[in-house]
Amino acid sequence: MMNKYITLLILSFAVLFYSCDSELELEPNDSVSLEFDKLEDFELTLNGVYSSFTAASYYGELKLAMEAWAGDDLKISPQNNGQGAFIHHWNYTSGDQNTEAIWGRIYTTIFRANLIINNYEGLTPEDDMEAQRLNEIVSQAYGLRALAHFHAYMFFGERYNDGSELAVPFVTEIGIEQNPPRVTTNELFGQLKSDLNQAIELANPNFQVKTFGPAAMYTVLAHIALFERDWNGVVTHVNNALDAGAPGLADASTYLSMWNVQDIDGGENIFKINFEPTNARIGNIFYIPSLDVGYYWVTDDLLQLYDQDNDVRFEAFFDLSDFPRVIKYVGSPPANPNVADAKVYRTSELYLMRAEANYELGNDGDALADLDAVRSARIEGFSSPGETGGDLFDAIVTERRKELAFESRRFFDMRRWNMPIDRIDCTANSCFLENDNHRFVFPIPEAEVFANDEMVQNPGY
Amino acid sequence: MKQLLLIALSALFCMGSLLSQQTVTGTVTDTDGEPLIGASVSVQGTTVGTITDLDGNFSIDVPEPESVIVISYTGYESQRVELEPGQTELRIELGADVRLIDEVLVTGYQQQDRERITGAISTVESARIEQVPIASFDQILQGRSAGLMILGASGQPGSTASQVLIRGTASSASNQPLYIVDGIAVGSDVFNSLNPNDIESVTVLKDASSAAIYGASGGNGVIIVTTKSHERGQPTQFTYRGSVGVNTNTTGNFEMMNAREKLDFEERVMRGPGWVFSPNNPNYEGDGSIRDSLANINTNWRDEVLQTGVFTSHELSISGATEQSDFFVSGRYYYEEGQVVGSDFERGTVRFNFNHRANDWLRMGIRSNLAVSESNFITSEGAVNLNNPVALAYLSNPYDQVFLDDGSYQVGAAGRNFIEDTDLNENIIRRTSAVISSYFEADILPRLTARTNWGVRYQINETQRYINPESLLSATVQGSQGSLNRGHAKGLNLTGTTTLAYSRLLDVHEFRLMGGHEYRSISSRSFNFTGFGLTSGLRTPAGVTPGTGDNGFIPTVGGGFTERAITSYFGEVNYTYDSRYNVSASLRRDGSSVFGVDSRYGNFFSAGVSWNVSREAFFNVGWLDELKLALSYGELGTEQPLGNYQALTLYNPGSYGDATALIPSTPGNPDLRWEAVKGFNFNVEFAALSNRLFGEISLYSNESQDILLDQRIPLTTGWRDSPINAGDLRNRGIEVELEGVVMRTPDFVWSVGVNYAYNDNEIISLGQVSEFEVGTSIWREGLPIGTHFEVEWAGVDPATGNALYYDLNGNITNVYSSANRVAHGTYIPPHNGSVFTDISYRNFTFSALGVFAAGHEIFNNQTFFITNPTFTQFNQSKDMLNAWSQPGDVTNIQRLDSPRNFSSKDIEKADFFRLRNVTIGYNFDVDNLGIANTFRSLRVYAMGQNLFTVTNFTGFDPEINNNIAQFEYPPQRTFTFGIDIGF
Repeated sequence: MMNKYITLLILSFAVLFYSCDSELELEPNDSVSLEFDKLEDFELTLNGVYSSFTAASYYGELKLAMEAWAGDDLKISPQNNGQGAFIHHWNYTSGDQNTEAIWGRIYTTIFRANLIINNYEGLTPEDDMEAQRLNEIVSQAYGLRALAHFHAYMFFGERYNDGSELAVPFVTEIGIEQNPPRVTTNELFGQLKSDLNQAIELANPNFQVKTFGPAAMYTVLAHIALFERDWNGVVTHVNNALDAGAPGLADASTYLSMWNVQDIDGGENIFKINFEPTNARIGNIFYIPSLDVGYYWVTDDLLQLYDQDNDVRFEAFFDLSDFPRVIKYVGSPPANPNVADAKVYRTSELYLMRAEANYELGNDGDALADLDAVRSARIEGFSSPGETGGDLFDAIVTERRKELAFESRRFFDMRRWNMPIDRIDCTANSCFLENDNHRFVFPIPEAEVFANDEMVQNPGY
Repeated sequence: MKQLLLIALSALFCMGSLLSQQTVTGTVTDTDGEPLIGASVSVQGTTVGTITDLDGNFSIDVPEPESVIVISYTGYESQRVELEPGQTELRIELGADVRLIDEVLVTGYQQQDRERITGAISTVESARIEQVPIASFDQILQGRSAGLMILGASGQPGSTASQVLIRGTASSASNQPLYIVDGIAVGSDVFNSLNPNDIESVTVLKDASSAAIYGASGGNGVIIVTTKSHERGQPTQFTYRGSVGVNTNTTGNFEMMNAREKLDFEERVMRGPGWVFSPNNPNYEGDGSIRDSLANINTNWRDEVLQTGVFTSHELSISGATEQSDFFVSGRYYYEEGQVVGSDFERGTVRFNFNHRANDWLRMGIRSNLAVSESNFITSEGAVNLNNPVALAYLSNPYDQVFLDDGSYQVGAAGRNFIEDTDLNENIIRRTSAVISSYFEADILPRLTARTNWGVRYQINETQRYINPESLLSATVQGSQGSLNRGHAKGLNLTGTTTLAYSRLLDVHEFRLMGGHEYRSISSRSFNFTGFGLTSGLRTPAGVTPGTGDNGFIPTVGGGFTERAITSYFGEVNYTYDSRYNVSASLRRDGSSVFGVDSRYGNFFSAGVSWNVSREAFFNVGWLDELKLALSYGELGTEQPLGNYQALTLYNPGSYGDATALIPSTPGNPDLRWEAVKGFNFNVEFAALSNRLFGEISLYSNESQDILLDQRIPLTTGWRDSPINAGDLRNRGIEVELEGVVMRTPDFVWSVGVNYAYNDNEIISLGQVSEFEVGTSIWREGLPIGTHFEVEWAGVDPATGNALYYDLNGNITNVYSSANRVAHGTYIPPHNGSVFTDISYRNFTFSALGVFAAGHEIFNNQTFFITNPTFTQFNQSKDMLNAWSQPGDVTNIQRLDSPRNFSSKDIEKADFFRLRNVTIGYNFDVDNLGIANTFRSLRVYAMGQNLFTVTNFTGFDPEINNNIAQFEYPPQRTFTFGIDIGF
């Protein structure tokens, strides 16, 4: 009889042992759940934001490639197997994979920044050092969020007229239930400026070139002002950037080492994204040494703009043996060819922006001074032709093309200036894009239009 | 006068009866000659009857000379014997029922009489499973239960790639049923570690109400496997079973070009050696001699790559008993060589099953199985490239060779040579698996029994992939000096079930109550590394060169740990009134770690009634012996598609520069929960014609709700998809199982059976969309799962040779646009079933099983590659010789430079009938041979598997589990000879 009760007791233990709820709360071993209750969570998430910039759908390829493919500085080569063909031929539709990829990646970056921005107020720093570090992290989060939105605007925002055009959604919240609507350009720029000012306030004035610091933030403000045609704003912010620690223009040999051989951090870099051999290789867009293949070659009309003997950029950017290829991002061969950092902003751009602004304000002299500063730094034995008026503007356009080639500027500049893309050295099916063609703005991805009730597609798609 | 006539007539009558009344005597035994005591012997149509005595003898007075005597005995098939004129002696031998309507089934957590159950349950006995030469048991079930469909059985030895569907696809993703082996829940991969000869019975719970006791895991049906114990009443038995056989090739219904045809074709499309070395090529300055020498090489790639594999198996099993215990022990060695050179499977299994009755109220036992196996396997199965040997056999060019004239390997397309790969490199999987469960059962009170069953399934898989530094493949790995990849994966399934059961018989009322608790966990841990620089020739980690920054030999490492758990409470009530009316109901509450925190628990229930009509007093249908009707409803779920941590918001480590980063990886969903299945089932079960015909007909309608789908969310949220429960499916159909004895004489028994199922699958809703594409198929409301989605083919224009298609308006166009895609059929057969027959004549037995499926279509991706000039680097089908070449040609092969696109041209009907198994056996009569002292039984047999297939499908196999057929490893045609010896 006793035996039976002992048996019953044993059986009931068997039941109770595995009845607890805690048995069902299993945490993964290969992934982490973040609570954002310590500073380290914010550090690691911020690194995640930067890491997002290195994706192939961002600076790893598309941010630079899409602009280059759509412009007139590259021509499709006989070795091309279809890479970038739709974009190069201006045949993109809302189903295009590349536009979907870059749109998705930009907003993923914004999401990661929002994780920091939405959670930092819940953290009580333990001491002053932590508080300061938290401020720096938050500053970069605000700044990078603004930068990413600005990139989205460049690709997908409607052509700027008076600011009432649709830009892109400005996303500040976390959650999968959202249907973020597109806001007007004025509204977007207002938000970006507010974010950047907030970022500047919290920033550490001593910054590394691979972190988004106050100099870069002012540069972005200047860049936004350029799109807005707020010429005074451009001048102000360029000056602020130089005051905030943007380096001086690099001399020829320093300039060379910024691009290949060493890919140095210094020189005139204001902000770079760090790329490791395990990341995507930017240089592959133009030339892949292991396969000896270049899917796109540099156009003759761009090459002819340079003084091939004296312009350091000619040596830094191009290699004309075999076929005319771009080696601007070849990084530091032979160990890791094409592993190069992405140069987001450099000082020469500050000068060129201020030159353009001054020209628009009627200050030809100041504009010429800035333009000549850049030209002297690049071309040995340069003496200024002293352009004014329309010639000065043409010179600024040309210098921007020569200096900022393959840095994701020209296509958007041509849109800003309402100029057509006229491919003089053309191997594509299409060689001329009219200045009012809707293709100057990329289509909103079909996937977004489908899932987001508030989304409005760009005209023409 | 009339009265006199009447009296005379009646006297005549009486005299007639008196005269013809006779006594018939006889003996009733079973088929082994053992007397059946108490068997009922009666005269049909009268009340005359008696029973047999202790020797099985009877004596009965029959009123008519040509009376029909009916002999019946519980558990045996009744017999009717029509008396011959003057016959006074009968020797009756009763055979055990072909199908018993009062057999006992193992259902969820308890055993029940078949006549009590209210749902649709099939059983498969061990005789159907034993000795079939397929390593993996789940494929052996094919055709044995209506509504159970096996798709995509890969022929690769040791493979478990098949998909098992019960009543159609009830889920979006994982459609595997729940497998229970000796009380332990296991995955289907356990079956290549089990010896099918150890299986006593398999029960398939098909309808919602019978599977509802398994709650959130039973939505795709449940298959319960019970392994053998010693047979009651038998002495200690030894059995040896041995068999050998061969695996031969099955092929597709297409013919490839020979060397000259291929070279001529290449010349026509101006690509490849046929053009490069052609005298008609303006860029070539030679004559045709190189081309001619190539044309004379006709490598038979099928012979090079495919082989006739051998198969062998040896097993020894012992079972015995004492007063208090019984045991069953078996050991088996199994070896199978595949059709493809370099693939094989070798396995040893040992089983120990033991039951012990400690006293009259306490019982315990253990079931254990240990298996060790090793297989050399083919990677790239089902890929269209020359790494897949099945594809290689057809796609390789006939002018290529394995070896060049100097004896070195020829480098084929893509820089590979499959024979070289098989000779130099290694792909091995070693599996060690243990399935062990034990139980304790105590009768705590007279009618109250408690039972606890705990079991584990522990498996270690080791994979090894060695790439020889001298092989062609070595050029593709890091450092180009070979590589060694090893992986260890350990899986542990733990199941613990504790139940309390009470039964009570009060007059005509019978109650059974059962309640219980169950805990299940599934965890797996894995680690793998790949090392490089295997320059020393060693194939072990000692041969790996340490990596430095320069040498490119830095090893890669991977692995992880993942787990899930379910804890449940359940109960069931059964009530039977007067053995005629049965009512049952069950309830289960499941909580799982994979459900979102807001949906952690679910409740599932079922209710059913059944009516044993034939037991009613009013039931008097002569030809129907038994009739049962049942109606039931159940709600249950499918939790298998959910990932272990899919409901959580998770971050993965990454890096930026040399700093660590955390990157959001899954958004999570706190509401994530099981897919729900709700279904009705109506059953008619009957036995007729003196228990010669048995049948079961089921009608069912199941609705699956909350199907797990990836909902597209705006990219602006930072994500792309989020898993939600949103879809709705429906499966409705009918299943028929019929089995009957066509003829029965003392020497000859012939039975025939058929299983047929029709399932109508329809997608009712898909959440936020009404359709979405998955590759070349479409999920669309109103259509079944697996529907193909392609542009409709309209033939070839005889005037121009252009390919023609239909646009959405039905007009013919020669412009191909993916906007014109329309829905076609589905690859999941709506009709499927089997026919089978068993014949025994004296000592010979013959059985055959044919399976069929119909109503489905498969996209023949193989044809797309071999009738496509874009792939001229591969060999092409002879059909290409009929390509359009001039205006007026009427052909189905378009002009060679007209682009070859995906279209319905490649979607083919795949209806098939396959003769799956034929077995001929001979049982030696040990008594008559005088060897009964040594041998208890002796049987020899020959068996053929997959003997032939009748189909119009031109790919390899119309039974694949994918909508696209692409060079999967075809099922093998096997011939086996075997001997079973009982001692």
